[in-house]
This record gives sequence, structure tokens and C-alpha cells, in this order.
Amino acid sequence: MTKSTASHGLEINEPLIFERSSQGTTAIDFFAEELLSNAEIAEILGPFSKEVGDELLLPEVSEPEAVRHYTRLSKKNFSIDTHSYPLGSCTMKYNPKIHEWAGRLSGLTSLHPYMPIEMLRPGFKLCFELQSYLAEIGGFHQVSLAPAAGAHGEFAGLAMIKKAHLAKGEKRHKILVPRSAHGTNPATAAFFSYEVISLDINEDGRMILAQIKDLMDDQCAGLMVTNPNTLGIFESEQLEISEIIHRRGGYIYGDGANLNALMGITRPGDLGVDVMHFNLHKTMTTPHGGGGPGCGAIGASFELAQYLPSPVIELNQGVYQPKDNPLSIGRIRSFFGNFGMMVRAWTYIRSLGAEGLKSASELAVLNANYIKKKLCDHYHLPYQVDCLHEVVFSDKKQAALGVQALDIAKRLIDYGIHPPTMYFPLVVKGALMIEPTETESLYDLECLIEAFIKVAKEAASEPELVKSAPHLTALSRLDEAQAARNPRLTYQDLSK
Amino acid sequence: MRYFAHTPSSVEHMLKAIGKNSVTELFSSIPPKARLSRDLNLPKRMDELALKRELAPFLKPKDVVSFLGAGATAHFVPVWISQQLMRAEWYTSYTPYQPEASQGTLQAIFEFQSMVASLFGMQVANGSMYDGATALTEALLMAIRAQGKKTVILCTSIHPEYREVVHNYFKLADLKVIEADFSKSGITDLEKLKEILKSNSSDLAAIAVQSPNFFGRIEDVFALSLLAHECGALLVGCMTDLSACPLLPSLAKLGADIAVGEGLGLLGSISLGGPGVGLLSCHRSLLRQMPGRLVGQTNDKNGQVGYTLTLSTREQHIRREKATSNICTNHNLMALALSMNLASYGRLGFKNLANINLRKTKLFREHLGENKHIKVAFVGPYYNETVIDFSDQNRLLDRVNQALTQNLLAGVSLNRFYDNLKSHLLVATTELHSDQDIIKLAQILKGESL
Repeated sequence: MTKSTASHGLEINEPLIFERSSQGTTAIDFFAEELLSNAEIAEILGPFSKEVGDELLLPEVSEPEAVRHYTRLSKKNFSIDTHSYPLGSCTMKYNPKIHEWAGRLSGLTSLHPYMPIEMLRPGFKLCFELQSYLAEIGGFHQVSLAPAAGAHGEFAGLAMIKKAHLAKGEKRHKILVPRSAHGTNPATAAFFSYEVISLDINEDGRMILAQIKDLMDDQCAGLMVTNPNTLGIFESEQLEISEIIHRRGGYIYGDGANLNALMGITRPGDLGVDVMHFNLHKTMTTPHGGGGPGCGAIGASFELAQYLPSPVIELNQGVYQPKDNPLSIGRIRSFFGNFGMMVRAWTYIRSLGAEGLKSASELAVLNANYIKKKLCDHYHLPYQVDCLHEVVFSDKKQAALGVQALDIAKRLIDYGIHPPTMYFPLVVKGALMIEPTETESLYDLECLIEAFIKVAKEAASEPELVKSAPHLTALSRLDEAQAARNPRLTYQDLSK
Repeated sequence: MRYFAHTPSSVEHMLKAIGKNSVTELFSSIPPKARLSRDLNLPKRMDELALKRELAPFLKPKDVVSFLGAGATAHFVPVWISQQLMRAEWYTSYTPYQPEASQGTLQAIFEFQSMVASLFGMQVANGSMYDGATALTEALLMAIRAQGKKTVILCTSIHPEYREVVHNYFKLADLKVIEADFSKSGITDLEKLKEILKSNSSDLAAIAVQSPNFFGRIEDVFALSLLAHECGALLVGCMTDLSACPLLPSLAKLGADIAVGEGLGLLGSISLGGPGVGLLSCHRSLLRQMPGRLVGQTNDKNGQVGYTLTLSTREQHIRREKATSNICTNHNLMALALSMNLASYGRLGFKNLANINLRKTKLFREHLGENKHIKVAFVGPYYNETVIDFSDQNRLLDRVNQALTQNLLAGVSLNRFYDNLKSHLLVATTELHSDQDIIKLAQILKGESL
């Protein structure tokens, strides 16, 4: 019997930082600096000066107050370092501390994008190496590190596909997207005015070859695929699917969200994926930061590499430099991308090497299958086939007792477990998507499994307890409808 | 491997429970022909000790004083912030989808939104974007949606990389971008703009302007907003250095309908330009067109005040192809870092910061003076950047090299961005520079021997 990690602590209430303010307080002094007089300022800015009394609404606190405020707020968060965080499709693995050390080295953080290029070469070398590592891991010809996030990588990928078709004089207006895909896939397709043709999945949770054969034509730009898919199931017929798409002039976009299942096992590029984004913040464990920054590095086949977004770093006669590619879709954000994230991902790949990355995938899959085995008697398993790095259950058994996926998720918080991804993928009603990752120990997995089983039992014996959860948190069941009906989005709104 | 807890015996125990004989069997859904039949070709794995040795060359920054700005102008950040950001509860958490387990991040974003709204004088701000360039692009796409039109005008005094991003996105979406050039004084040429408007006003969704602009000049945003509004278009205002806010009327006050910005310089790390943090704010009437994450205040079931993600019906995980954008993240940790720094400065400190930046720039210009070869290129109200015209490209290169021998990075050559500014250098002067270094740089650039 393991012990739940959750317990009552001293709950800290913390006001908005504006409510701590007292006029004239600041946490930053400039003792040694002279200031211009208002007249001198007016002389420089002329008619563009700010009017007297037109003040910014910024907090006015001392340094100790600021530190206390943010430290207290931080304690209101679950995080990987404090809790199991099995969010499906998000790959919440341990963020090694050496990465934070590396990312903060002043020789890297002080690099300015417009420094003389000689000063930038060591940084470019690191980017170049990371590009090559990712190309090798994904099976691609070349990689660009420019995209800031997964969805940004998707944007780049579809842009490249659109450009490749236009270069051949083809204007294709449709794209195939499985119903199980991430919401960003159709949203990105919509930007390019591609009509989204939804693909069904079969009883094994996989795409249907015959349907793709049927729908793929010369009006169709190709297929957006996540493999393993969002059910954690490998698309076993990927090679055959790729052949159909390619034969009819299409390209395959790979959503790399689930790459953590495949490192050193198989490579999307070898399976016919033409362009794919990596989520360095998932697979290569650069921290999620409460929702970013990430890095959506994008890999491409030999044919599509020429369209990769700028900058791509090349090694030319021993010199590292940004490459000038006339066919590129161009720059899709400022400067060189999220370099700080690249440093962390580089450090991770160098820490693990080929064997470590393969072990990571193997253990991630082992952990997911162990959870699947241990929970399949307690939760409905909509697809009974082998899963890889994540497993999707549903609330079907509990829903029959009036307890929904949301209730299960909230009750798990009481057991010190961050809820799994809920209600996604949309193809499973009341989905609970669990991705433990490789860095969870057997001990922590047992805690997680026990918590899920307890909640399943409670759903039968004391459904009200589950439906009114969480009970141990400071707040419970925030009214999202009220938040949307009458949006209060700033401190300024509160005084209205 | 130090990050994995499993031992051979725990693996065996787990395989047995699952009913498999080996780890390889777990992958039986991958057909043999689809498998990689070799090991990945990557450098040998390293222990932490070896890694630290490998990265040792990056322990120290270059021994230079940098006057490089151009959208990445560094400002002072107190030490406590880098320590606070190392708290795992901030950087190892995910998007706050479960409000009960994420009140810290949610409240911090709410406070961030409040501060950003105030900087721009707007009613609403979102939880941040990737960077200033994508924030500007998304703002223009908002305008396209809101106005139901297909053309935008960009002032060429906007950061060149931002404009490049807008062009690339718009090209892909079959939308039109027209550029409005700057005048001899380095701000948007209103007469030329009026000419453009004569033939393009009917399909115009927005005009975008940056102030202080790429050359450090203050634009007449108000005049531009009148021109935009006269033809039924929106005005999008942009800032790449927020520290100017305490000195200038807010973009909203000057007539902007959407205001965007970049917070990179206030994060404590330029890091080759990323990650930064994009800001996006607007009038409440445009709220439903806004992309990105938003946090709102609400109550829990016991009536207690709390925070939650809201208006997610705009977003792709609910709306899929009908979403306002494919963006499904913010640059949360950077938004947090920016909030912490704005909170540190506070109203008073931020005012002092702006004042000092202006004084340093005034000092630089005074010492630069003017002679027949070298002058401040664009005359008129400025903030913390100066464009110097050396009247000859070789002279510019020569002086920049001389500065480098004194360990001063003099500035950014505008030649790389503008064909007609071949002998022009952009110099940023801020609170990070001592008066002595500023004077020294001015002397070198004007050719005085030290």
C-alpha cells in the first residue's frame, strides 16, 4: 500500500499584486543616476509628451513584497517536480536541472541577434548540431529550429506543402485530417483555406486505408497525421498510407507531439512523412513553463527541405552561418527562434545519446502499458489494442453511475495526482488520456494507479464525494460559464 | 541513466504484470519493415560532469559593452527574478487547464494582462504571444477578420523582421500588404501615405505603425489613426521597447484600436533573440476576434474568488477549423518574467527608467555633435535609439571597427535592412551604459582619437 501524496497544508491566500501597492514604493532604485527635468523631457518629445496625471497602472511594491507575492502564488501550482502530471499528449517528463544551468550561461544569454557574425558562430554551431540530431532522430533531410511552438511548426509545415504544390503549378484545396487529430491541425489547415476532410477510425483506433484510397485525389494536398495517434496507438499501415498519398501527388504532414514513443525505434521520415514538427518542450524536455515558451522545430524530406522557414544554420567550409534559401517560406517570427529552448534540447540529447533516447521511449511505453494493465478492470478501455506511450480510457463505467470524466479528474487532485487530459481525443466520449512518461518511477506509478482505482471505487460507493471534488484544494469547481459570460480580464475591470 | 528510476528487476516485474516477455514485444504494433534496424547516429551520451566541461566556453559573456538594440534592447532586471523563475512550480507546470491545480499561474497571467492593458491604455490584453512579430501579424489578421477586408498598410519604419513575418503570413493567406515609406526625418511620410490611401482605402483593414519606431523616432500615431479611421480601417500600434511607455501617451489614447509589443528587453536575457514575449491588446469590442489565451476572474462553487482560462470558444481545441487562430499557447514563463520586472520597477521605477534612457540618449547625441561627415540622420522627437549617418559606408565600417578595438559594440548597420540607408548605424543607449562609455562611443564614432 502506497501513501497518497496529498494532504492538508497551510493554505495561503494571496491578493492581487495591485492590492499590495502603496504609492511611491519601488523595488528598483537608481541612486547613482541623474534625471531629466520635465522641461528637458518636453524639449525632446515636444507634442508627443505624456500628459501630467496620465499614469500607468503598475504595482508599487518593495522587493520583499514582490518576492513574497510570487513565491506564494507559485505554491498554488501543481508541477512536475511536486506531483505526478500524467497529461496525455503533453509529455510531462522530468526537466533536468542541468538544462536550466546551461540555458542561463551568460555566454549564451548575452548573444544579441545583430552581433558581428564571428561572435555568433559558437551559438550557431550549437543550433547546427541540434538540427542534425533532430534530423537523425526523425529521419529527415534538414531541420529548421525557427518555429516557436508546435502549432507554429504546423503552420510552417502546411505553408511548405502549399508552396511545394504551387511550385508545381498545382492549387490543391483539401486536406485529410483524422477525427482523432489535435485541434491545432484543422485550425492550421483553415488558415491556408484547405477544406478539412475528416477521416474515420476503425475499431482498432486506426485510420482506414480504404477510406484514404477513396478520398485522396489530385485536389487533396495530403494528410496530417499523428503517429502514434492521439489514442496512443501506432498507425501500423503508415507505409501503405504514405504510398497512396505520394502516388497522388500529396504530402504527409506529421504532428510530432507523440514522438516520445518512437525515438530509436522507428523514424517518421522513413515512414513517408514529408514534414514534421518536433515539440522540443515535450520530447526533448525543455520546460513547459506553465504554457510556453516551447520550440516547434520542423524537419523535412529532401524534396521539401528547400521550403523550410528561415533561418536554417548551415556549415559551409568549416563556418557556421544562416543559410540563404530563395525558396524558403521565409521568416515566421523575429530573430533566430527560441534559442534558450534549443540550448536545453541540445543538452538533453547530449546527455542521453542514442541509447538513452531509445531507453526513454521504451520506458515511456512500458509505463503506459503497466497503467493500462492495472486500470483496465476499473475503467472502460475503448480500444483494446496494444498502446505505446499513452493510454486512453473513458468514463463509460462511471458515467453509468452519474460520475463524469471531469469528476474523476477533479477527485484525482485530492489524491495529489494532476488529472490526465480529459475529453480528448474527441473520438472517445468522456476520454481520460494518460501519459506517464519514462521518468515516473514504479513507486510513483503505483501511487497513481491506486489513486485511479480509489476514485473508481468511490464512484460506485460514494458518487457524491467524487462529483463534489476536489475537497483538499483552496478552490473547487470554478465557474467557467460565469467567467465567459461577463469577462473580467484585468484588475481595471474589477472596479467597474 | 540518471533520469530513469527503473532497474532490470522493476522492468521484469512490470513486463510480467503486463504479460509480455520483453520490452521489444511492447512495440509489436510497429511492423518490422517500419522499424529502424540500426542505432541512431548521435554523439556518445555524456554524464553531467562531461557536459559541464563541454559547455564551459559559454561560462562568460563576451567582454564587450553592447550598444545593440534594434528590437532587442536589453534593460536592467533585478537578481530576485532569475531566482524566482527557478521555482519548479513556475517552470515545470503545464498550461493551467485545471484551475484548482494552477491558481498561481492563472492569477499571475491575470496580473500580466492588467499590466499590459495599462501600458497600452487598452481595455483587454491576452496572456501573451510568441513574440512581437507574430503579435503584430495576428493583430493584422484580427483586423482583417473584424473589418472583412483584405489589405493592410505597413509603415516601413516598423522593425524589418516584423514586416517580413507579416509579408510571409499574408502571402500564404492570399492577403495584400502595402508598404508606406518614411520621410527624411525618419517617420512615416504622411503625404505619401495619403497618396496610397487614395487608391486603396476601400479594401483596407488596417494601418500598422511602430512608435518609437525602428529608428528610435516617435511617430505621429494620432495623425495616422485619423487617416486610418477616415477610411474605415483600424490602427494597429506596435512597440518593441516597452520602457518608453511612461513618457508617451498610450497607443490607445493616440487612437490605436489594437496595440502589440515585445517584452524581450525586459526579461534579463536576450539569448539570440528568443524566447521573448509578444504582447497583444485591444478595445473590448474586438475581444471575440482576439487569438491566444485569456484568463478571467470568477468564483468557485463556494463563492470564493479565483481565476480560470476563459473565452476558449475562440480557440482551436474547441472550435477546430473555426478558431480565431491555430495558436494554443502563450509564452507564459516570459510573460511571468515580464510581470515580475514591471512589478519591480512599479510606477515610479519605470518612470525613472524611461527618464534615464532618454537622458543617456540626449547625452550621446550631445557628444556626437555634428560635422560634415557625420550627423544624426533623423531629426525630431526620439527615445533611446539614434541613427547616425556616416555619409560613407567605409567610414561607418571603419569607426565600428575602431569601437570594437575598445570593446564597444557600436550598433547595428542599417544596410542589412534598407537599401537607401547604406551608411547608417542604429545605436541604442540605455541605463545599462555608463555616461563614460556613452561619451567614449560618441568620440570614437565621430573620429576623435581618444
